[in-house]
Amino acid sequence: MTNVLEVEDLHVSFRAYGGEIQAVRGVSFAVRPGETLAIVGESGCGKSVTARAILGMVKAPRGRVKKGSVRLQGRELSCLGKKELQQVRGAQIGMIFQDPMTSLNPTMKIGTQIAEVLIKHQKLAKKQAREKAIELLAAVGIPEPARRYEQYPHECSGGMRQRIVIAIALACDPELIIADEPTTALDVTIQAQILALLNDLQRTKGTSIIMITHDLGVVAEVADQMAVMYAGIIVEQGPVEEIFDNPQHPYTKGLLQSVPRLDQPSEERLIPIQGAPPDLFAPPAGCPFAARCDHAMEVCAQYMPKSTAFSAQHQAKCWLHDRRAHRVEELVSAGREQHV
Amino acid sequence: MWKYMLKRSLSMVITLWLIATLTFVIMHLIPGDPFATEARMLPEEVVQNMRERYHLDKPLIEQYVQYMNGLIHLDLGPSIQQKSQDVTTLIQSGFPASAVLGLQSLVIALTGGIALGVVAALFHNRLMDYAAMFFAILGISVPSFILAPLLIKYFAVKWELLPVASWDGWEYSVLPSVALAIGPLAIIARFVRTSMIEVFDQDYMSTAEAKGLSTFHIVFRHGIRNAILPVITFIGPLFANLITGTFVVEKIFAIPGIGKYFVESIFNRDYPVILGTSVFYSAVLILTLFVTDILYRFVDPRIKLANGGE
Repeated sequence: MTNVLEVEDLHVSFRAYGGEIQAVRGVSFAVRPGETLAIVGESGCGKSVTARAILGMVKAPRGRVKKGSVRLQGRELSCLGKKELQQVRGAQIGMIFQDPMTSLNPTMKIGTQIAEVLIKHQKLAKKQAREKAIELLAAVGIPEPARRYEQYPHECSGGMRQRIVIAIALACDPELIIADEPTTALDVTIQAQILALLNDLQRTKGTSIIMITHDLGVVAEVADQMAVMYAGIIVEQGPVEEIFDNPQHPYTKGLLQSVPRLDQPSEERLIPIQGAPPDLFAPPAGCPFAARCDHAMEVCAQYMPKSTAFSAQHQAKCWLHDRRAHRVEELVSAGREQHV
Repeated sequence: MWKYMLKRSLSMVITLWLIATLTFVIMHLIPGDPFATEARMLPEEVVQNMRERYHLDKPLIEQYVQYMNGLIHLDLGPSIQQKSQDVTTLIQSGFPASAVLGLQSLVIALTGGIALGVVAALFHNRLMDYAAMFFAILGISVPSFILAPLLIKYFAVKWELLPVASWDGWEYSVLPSVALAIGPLAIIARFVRTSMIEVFDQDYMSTAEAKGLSTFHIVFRHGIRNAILPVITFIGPLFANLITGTFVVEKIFAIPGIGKYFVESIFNRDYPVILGTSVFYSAVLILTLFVTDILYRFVDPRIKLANGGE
C-alpha cells in the first residue's frame, strides 16, 4: 500500500525585519490511503505553514520552502512549476480553511465558487458544472441546493458556509484533503456536525485527510494517526490511541494533562504547561521544549534529540528515551532516598 | 427597490433646489454686477435700460421667483455676456464636446488606473510596484496645464502623430483626453493598489489559490470585484467633473466645450450663466451619485439599499 502523501525533512522560513523566522524545521510524516492524520500543536508551531507548503502556497517573496520533499502518490511536488501545481491544487488536494466566514468570496455566488473548480479541472461545460455543483451541495447536507446555488455567502450561516467550503474541496474527488482547523470558528454543535460530515465523506470516498487542529477532542474523534508539533518540529507521532494511552514526550503529556477528561474526578485540577514556546527567530539548538520541560537535563538545551521508536509507527524525539539517560524509575527512587 | 428610487428622486430634487437657492444668494453677495465695466463708459440711462432688460432692477426676491419659475420649465434664462444666446443653448451646444472628452478620459483613467494598480499590487514592494507608484505620483503632481503643452509639443508638433487645436474628428480628441485622464488615472491606480493588496491578504484569495485557479482568474474574477469599491466611490464625482468639461484642457486644446463658462461667467458676473452652469453640474453630480449607489449594490451583494424592501 503506497502512501498518499509523504513529507520529508520539510523546512520553511520567512524573511522578516531583523532575521529569518524558521517556522518549520525539518518535518517528516506520511499519510496512508483512507486515513486521517491529525497535526496537533499550539498557535505558531508551524502546522498551518506545513499545510500551505504541501500545496506550494507559502507566500513569496517572504516565505520560502528551504528544503525538503513533498511527494503525492510518489510524485515530487516541490519541484513542480506554477502551472503544474495549479493542476494539483483543487484536483488532487482539496483544502478546507479555518474560518468559513472569510474563506468564501463575498461577491461571488456560492454556486459559481463551486462550479469554477469543476470547470477548471474537469473541463465541464457551465451547465454540467452547475448540475454537479448542486449535487455536491446536496451531498454535504445543504437543503434546497438549487436555491442556495444562486445565493451569496452572507446569506448562509457559518456551519452552512463550512459545508460549502467542504463541497469545494471535495468537488474533484481529491486523493487528499487538508483541513486547517475546520471547526475552530464554529460553535460546538456545528463542530460535531462538520466532523461527522467529514467522517462520512471519508468513508464513502476513501479520501485521506490531514486535519490540522489544536483541539485534542477533535483528534480523538476523527484521527487515526497524529503528529504533535512544537516550535516547528514534530516531537511525537503515531497512532492516536497509542499516544493518548501512552504519551512519550513530556510536551504531549503536558497537552493531555491540560485537557479536562470525563473519567477524571471533577475536583482534580488541570495542569497547565508553564511558560511560552521559544522564539523562532533564533530557535534553541537543543530540544525546543527544554525550557518548559520538568524533566529537562543538561543535554536537552544543547543537542536536538533523535527519534526513538516505541512501536512500528509510534516515535518521539526526547532525550529521556536515550539509552544513556537515567531511567525515570531510577530518578524517582533517587528522589525518595534523598527525602528519607 | 422602487420605493427607494422614489425617495431618492424626491431628495435629489430638493437638493438641487437648495443648491440653486444657495448659488443665487452667494452670487448676489459677490460685489459688482454684469455691467460694472459698461457703467463707466456709457450714459446712466443706457445702463439702466440694460439692467431692466435682464430684470436686474427688480427686487432680489422677485428675480429669484422668476428664475425658479424658469428653472422648473428648464429655461435657464438669457446669457448677459453672450449676446442673444440663452444659457440652455449654450450648454446644449458645448456639452457634447465636453462629454465626449470626459467619457474618453474616464475610460482611459479607469482601464489604465486599474491595470497599473493591479500590477503594482501583484509585485508589492518590488521594482514593478515602485515604478508604477513613481509614475502615479508623477501623474498626480504634474498639473494638466504642464502636461497638455508637453503632449502638444511632442505628439503634435515634433512627431506629428496627432492633430490638435481644433475639434474636427475623433483624432483631435486623443491628446486632450489623455491630458485630462492622467491625473485621475494615477489616483485610481493608487486606490486600486491599496485595496488590492488588502484583498490579496484575504482568506478567500487563499481559497481561490487552493482551488488551482490561474493567477489571472484569481485576480480578475475574485480580486477586482472586491477591490473596486473604493474606486467606485471616487468615480462618482470624477465622472461629473470630467463630463462637464474643464477650463484648462479645453482652453489649451481649443475645444468648444462648456468648461470655460464655469470660470468666465464668474469674472463677468454673468448671473444666469453662473446659475445655469452650477445647476447643470449639480444635477449631473447628483445623478451620478445616485447611479454609483445603485452600482455598489451590484458589485457587492452584501450592500442593501436603505428601505430596499428586499
